[in-house]
Amino acid sequence: MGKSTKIVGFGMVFLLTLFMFTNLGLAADDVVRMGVISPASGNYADMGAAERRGMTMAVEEFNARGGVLGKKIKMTVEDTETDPSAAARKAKKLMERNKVHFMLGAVSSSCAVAISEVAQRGNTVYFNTNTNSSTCTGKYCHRTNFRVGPNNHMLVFGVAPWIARNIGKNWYFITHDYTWGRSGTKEFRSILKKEGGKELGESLIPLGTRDFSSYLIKIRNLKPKPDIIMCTIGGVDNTAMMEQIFEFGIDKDFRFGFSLRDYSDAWTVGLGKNIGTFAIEWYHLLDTPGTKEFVAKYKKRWPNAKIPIPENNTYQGYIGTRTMLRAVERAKSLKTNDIIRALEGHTIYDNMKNFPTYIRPWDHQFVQEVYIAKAKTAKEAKDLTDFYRVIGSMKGPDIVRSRAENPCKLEPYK
Amino acid sequence: MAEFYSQLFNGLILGLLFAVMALGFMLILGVMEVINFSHGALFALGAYFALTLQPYLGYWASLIIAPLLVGIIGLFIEWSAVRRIYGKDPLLGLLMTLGMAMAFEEIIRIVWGKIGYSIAAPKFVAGPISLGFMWYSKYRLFMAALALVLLGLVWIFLEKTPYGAIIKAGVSDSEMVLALGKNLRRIRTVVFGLGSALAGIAGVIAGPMWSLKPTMGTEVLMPAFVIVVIGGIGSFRGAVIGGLIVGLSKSLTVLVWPRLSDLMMYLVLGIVLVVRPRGLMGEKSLLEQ
Amino acid sequence: MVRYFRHPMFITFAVFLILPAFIMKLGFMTLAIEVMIWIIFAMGYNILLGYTGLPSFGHGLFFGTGAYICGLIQQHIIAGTWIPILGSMLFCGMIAGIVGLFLARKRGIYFALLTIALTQLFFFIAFLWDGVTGGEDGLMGIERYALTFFGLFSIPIEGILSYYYFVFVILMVSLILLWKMVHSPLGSVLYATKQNEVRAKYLGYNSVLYKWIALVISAIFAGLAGALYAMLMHGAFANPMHWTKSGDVVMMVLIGGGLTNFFGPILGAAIFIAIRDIISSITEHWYLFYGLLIVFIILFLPEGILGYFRVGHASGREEVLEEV
Repeated sequence: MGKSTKIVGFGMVFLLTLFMFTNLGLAADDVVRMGVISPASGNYADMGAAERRGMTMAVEEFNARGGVLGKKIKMTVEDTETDPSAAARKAKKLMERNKVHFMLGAVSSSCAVAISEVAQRGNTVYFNTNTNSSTCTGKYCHRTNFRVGPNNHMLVFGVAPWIARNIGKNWYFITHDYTWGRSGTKEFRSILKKEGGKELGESLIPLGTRDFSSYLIKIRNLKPKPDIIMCTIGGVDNTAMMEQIFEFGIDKDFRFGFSLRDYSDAWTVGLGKNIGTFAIEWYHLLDTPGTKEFVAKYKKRWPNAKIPIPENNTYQGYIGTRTMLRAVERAKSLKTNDIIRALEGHTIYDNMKNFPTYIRPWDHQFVQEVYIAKAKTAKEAKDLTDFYRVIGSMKGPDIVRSRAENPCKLEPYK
Repeated sequence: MAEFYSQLFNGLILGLLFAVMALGFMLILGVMEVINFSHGALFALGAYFALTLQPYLGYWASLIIAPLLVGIIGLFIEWSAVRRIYGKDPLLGLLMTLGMAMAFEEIIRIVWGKIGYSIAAPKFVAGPISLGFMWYSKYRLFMAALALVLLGLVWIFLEKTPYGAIIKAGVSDSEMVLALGKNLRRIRTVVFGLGSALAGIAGVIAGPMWSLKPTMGTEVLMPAFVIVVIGGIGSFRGAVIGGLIVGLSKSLTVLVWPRLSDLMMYLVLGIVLVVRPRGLMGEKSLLEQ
Repeated sequence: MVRYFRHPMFITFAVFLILPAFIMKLGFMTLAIEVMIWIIFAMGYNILLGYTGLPSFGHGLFFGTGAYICGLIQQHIIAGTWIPILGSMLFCGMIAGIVGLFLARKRGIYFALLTIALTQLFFFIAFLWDGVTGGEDGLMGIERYALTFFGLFSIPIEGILSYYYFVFVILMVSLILLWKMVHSPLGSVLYATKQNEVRAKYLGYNSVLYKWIALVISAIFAGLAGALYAMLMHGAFANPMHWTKSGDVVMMVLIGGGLTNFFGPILGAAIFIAIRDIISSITEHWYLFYGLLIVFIILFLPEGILGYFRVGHASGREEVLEEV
């Protein structure tokens, strides 16, 4: 035999054995296998870590009580790399090799879309947490796919009418130039129209923009001056923009509105550069049942976390996992269809919000309360974690898309 | 018209920062023929070092020490790894530095965590200032001055010191340097350290404007890369001119069609390469045919 | 006859033929299909890198475009399998033909720089043009329609096992084609261009033309791989075109020893995907180890595994000629 023949052959055999060993015993029968697919690298790595902390807490609570259906829960984590093509690959891996009973996670909407596509084909229940793009429970909705957080439509319909009535009706838009950003601005526009306001223009910002100086100068020169600048900018770009708003002193002359503020973004820029009016999903200083206890528990469980309190991402990870595990208990089964049936139309009462959350059976959206908040300045803040002044809230059913507006059509049960 | 002037002015200032970012990349590419993909990661490291040092040393000291530390890291990676692939297929250097970039990114995540940070600009340059025709950020004016000083220092180093002459000779013909009996090996190490330190200082400067995240280096690399190809590999003037062109193209595009502001630099690159395949200031070298 | 059984190509085919029997139950089928697809991609790419010596760092461009074109043809023109795949190959070949008019005159580091800029340009286009490509969400819902043969009969490939063998057949055909190509006069000229372009020119070969041909061939195989990958994942995404992912295929060629041996990319693709798969499950900080591993491979195994064991002559041609 030639040398290369031998090496190619041996190489293949070696790899095969390696695989067998690394994956032996993965699919043991005596545990509930929970797949977590969430970013540990890439732009959303911090939010991924935050949601995994919430998931871990929920799993540990259940395991302390003996698990579900008499079995312990085992979490297997895969990294989406904040990249939809990697996310699809890893989701397949969790389903086919780890044989998970259900999956949770995402943060990035585009990753969620890719994961839910393979989850539907593999018929595995999937909760996408911390995504906001309306498409996840709209155009790309699936029977096996549930969204734990509020979507863009809910956030915008939560905060925008308040802005139009209380701040002004001449708006200028700053839009992140990708699906999520554009869909946010589209929703803003429809509200503006409803409220009889006027659009003064729009800047589309490419994804990955770190320098907003040119856009900010443009805004400074706007005539007439808008009452408020409505921004749908996500992730790292958002924190960079907030920094630069202060750098150019635009904060003094203009007001800013955002569709959503992620707590980690506020934490990054700090109290000194906290700005705007926006919607939030949840806040650790809310006066709602269970919140204090949850915060205390979080602090005890994660004493070394860089952000000392649970963020909105942690909240979603926790609520999502708990809802999933409870559904398994109610269904008394780990079969996909049984879990889905236990979830559809279910209402969560102890959701750490004022009003219960309802899982809509026809698009699998968690219909929930959304809060309107204003940024606090350093003077107003009670402590270093206090970033928001909650000025109102909108009940889920009032802000969610109606069936006529939503293109979603779920597949039949498999 | 006021808006045009404002954008023109901003484009020039931005261009200076881009030039500083590209300078280190250009030096390493020009002298060693290595496409240094770890440039962005070194940029991020500079910003993170400044973040850690500032509370203890103050702004000015960390402005100097953070880039020095990055420079030392640069020396180390050159000494331990990069020097072994000089003269080999360019893909080797490219992949090796890409691997380093990934490792550095993860090291940042391990040391500083995954969350983002904000560095405050020094007090005396915080906030905006009126320039008559526009309001502008004080910090950016300060940054532009800093960039000019840096560019000046590098220019003096390259033009007025014997070291610079050797480096320039190395750019056009490394075999010639060898024939002259100069210690090419040491020159290369020094240049790599210098290039890394320049990446680091760009990170320190950009930190207060752009906020810190482990992935912050990824977006920085491509402008640096485009600038160097536009300006011509191994040309100091090319890097400065390329920086200004990219800065201007970004800010002026915002006036017309903001969506294209990122794509614009690639289009400029395409046009330049069709007209002048070696880049604007590129001299004919052994690197291409 | 016996000598054919000892041929590395035969071994590869045999391994992949019987593989499902061992891995089907364990759930490794997707991974194995992925390995085969990347082998096609890496082998095609190696025509450019290993045989012609052109260091492209932007072949993700053709892989990504192939995936999109496959999906677009399926969704807008014809809901089949053959035509989308052929369309992807054709389209990628065309793009390579156009950019090749410019690229083929370059070599070395300039070639690398330009391919990086190009793939980044296409990445932005795919990302921004969401009306067509789906933007950041990607182009979803790419199906595996049954194969039809002139309307006579059809074979479904939706199932994982049948798709596996579909890709397997394509892999076999691709490898045999590439083998024939490398051992044809074309292969010799490409190799001569790599060794000494000036001399090849003096011998009367239009080296620019041959470099252009190599680029187009590699792009066609990249397009094919992209289309197969889109069908595997049921979606096409912009991310494979990003420069941070462009190193993957290059690493596969290098690890295996593709610069010195025809069969290098087979081993390289399998090992690369295996390492990526295992390492990211073991630790959250896998980026660190993955990055360091790349550095170490370049440092200590620059010629890849086959090169390390001194298998094969620089071209990978002579060795096999002696053997078979």
